[in-house]
Amino acid sequence: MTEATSYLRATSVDEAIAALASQAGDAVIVAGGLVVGSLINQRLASPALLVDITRIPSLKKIEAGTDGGLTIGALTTHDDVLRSDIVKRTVPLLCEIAEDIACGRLRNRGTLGGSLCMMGQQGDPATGLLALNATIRIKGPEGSRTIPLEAFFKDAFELDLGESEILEEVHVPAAPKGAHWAFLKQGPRNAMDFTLVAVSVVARLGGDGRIDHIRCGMNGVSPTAVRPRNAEAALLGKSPGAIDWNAVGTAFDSDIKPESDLVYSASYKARLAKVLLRRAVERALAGGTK
Amino acid sequence: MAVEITLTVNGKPHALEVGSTEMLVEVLRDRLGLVGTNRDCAQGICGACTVLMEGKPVTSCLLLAAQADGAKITTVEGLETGGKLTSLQEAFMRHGAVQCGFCTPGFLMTATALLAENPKPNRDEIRDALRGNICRCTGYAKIIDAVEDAAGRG
Ligand SMILES: Cc1cc2nc3c(=O)[nH]c(=O)nc-3n(C[C@@H](O)[C@@H](O)[C@H](O)COP(=O)(O)OP(=O)(O)OC[C@H]3O[C@@H](n4cnc5c(N)ncnc54)[C@H](O)[C@@H]3O)c2cc1C
Ligand code: FES
Ligand code: FES
Repeated sequence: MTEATSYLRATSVDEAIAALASQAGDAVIVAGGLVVGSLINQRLASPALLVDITRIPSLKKIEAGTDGGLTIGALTTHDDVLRSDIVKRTVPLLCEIAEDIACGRLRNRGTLGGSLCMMGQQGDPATGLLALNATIRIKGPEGSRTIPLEAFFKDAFELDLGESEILEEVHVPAAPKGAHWAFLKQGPRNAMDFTLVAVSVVARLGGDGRIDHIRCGMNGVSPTAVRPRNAEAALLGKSPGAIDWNAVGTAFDSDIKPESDLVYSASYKARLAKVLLRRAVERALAGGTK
Repeated sequence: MAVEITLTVNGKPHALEVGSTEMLVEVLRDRLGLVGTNRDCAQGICGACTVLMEGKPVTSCLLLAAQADGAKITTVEGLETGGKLTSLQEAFMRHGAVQCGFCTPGFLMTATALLAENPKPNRDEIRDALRGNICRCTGYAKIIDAVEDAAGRG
């Protein structure tokens, strides 16, 4: 057994940061533990120190912001999101995403912070938060900083997160007035498998019937969650009936870097992603949900 | 490293020293002898290890015992009262919702939490609540029948 591993139940963010800093890269944060626990069980992780952050009250919150947006603490579970009236009212897209994550027993433990920090397979909430233009606040030994979520996902297994830093909270600005949204995902099965490809779209039609706002977030198509900026550009300014989906698809190809895995080829993922993107955009433009 | 914790399991308090990487399922089975909770995939997929923590289903193979410090845990052994099974357990027997039985404790815990929150779920709600539990024997229909029946009688 990995009895060499120490365990610390941190009670404040600063205590957790100090503990992480004291171990020079050989400490692992544990939130809901769904990812960390699985790595421990598979003997793929045996850090010198486990820093349990689940007893840090300041990380558990859902608050309406002054800008009509929302601040969600990193320890908020998928179940908390699903049951939150504030989230339902301000950013229902996040409830729809949470509703489809794994199953109840995993939603009860899995946290938003853990889902954004799990490296490589950024989960479903990341897609919605990218489409909603979320920012995140990170705290480390040098203090706090706020960055766009988009900048957090640097590359495969590479987050803009230092060894002694903690993701504290996510800020979701109010969606543009009159915007609609859609979320679609595809996995091997509906329940319990990691999502293969997921897409979130936030879009709005202007008074002239053309798309005057579009932002998408996707996972499964690149080593990390991405925003397909070229596809967005190809959609902006178009009216729903006059979208050249071949052109959008070509633009989209330059946004993504799908990788073949043991089961699915890169070209299959790219095709699937294009279909899902189109359906999600069409659904959002047709009025998706408010 | 040993971590001192307390747990209330099926109403009974325990003070324990657990390993820093020891999961709750190991504590329940290996130290407390509560072997009704099964451990199979150890990766969160199958649901055989489902127990209730503060009334909510959790995946005990991925929950560090240290993280459960102070919690109230209910396992399948804690469902009966004085030898009397719950109506859900009775319904599982009546409907043949148990074959090899390996998955059964997990299904019972998940369905117990469902019925506590939503006493009259429809079939779709039952199916959705049970999505995180895998059964290789029954084909699920009898399990869903049993939960529906228990809800009807509840
Ligand atoms: C069977 C199964 C099915 C799943 N299905 C889905 C699905 O359908 N959709 C989906 O989106 N996800 C799915 N997941 C992924 C699920 O684990 C995450 O969504 C979950 O939220 C992880 O959160 P956690 O708190 O358990 O993470 P943990 O395991 O506690 O942490 C994950 C990683 O993030 C780090 N970390 C955690 N919190 C912070 C923080 N605040 N600051 C810095 N680093 C931190 C940890 O060190 C670790 O590296 C599934 C997982 C399993 C096991
Ligand atoms: S043993 Fe825990 S989910 Fe399979
Ligand atoms: S009864 Fe055998 S796995 Fe369900």
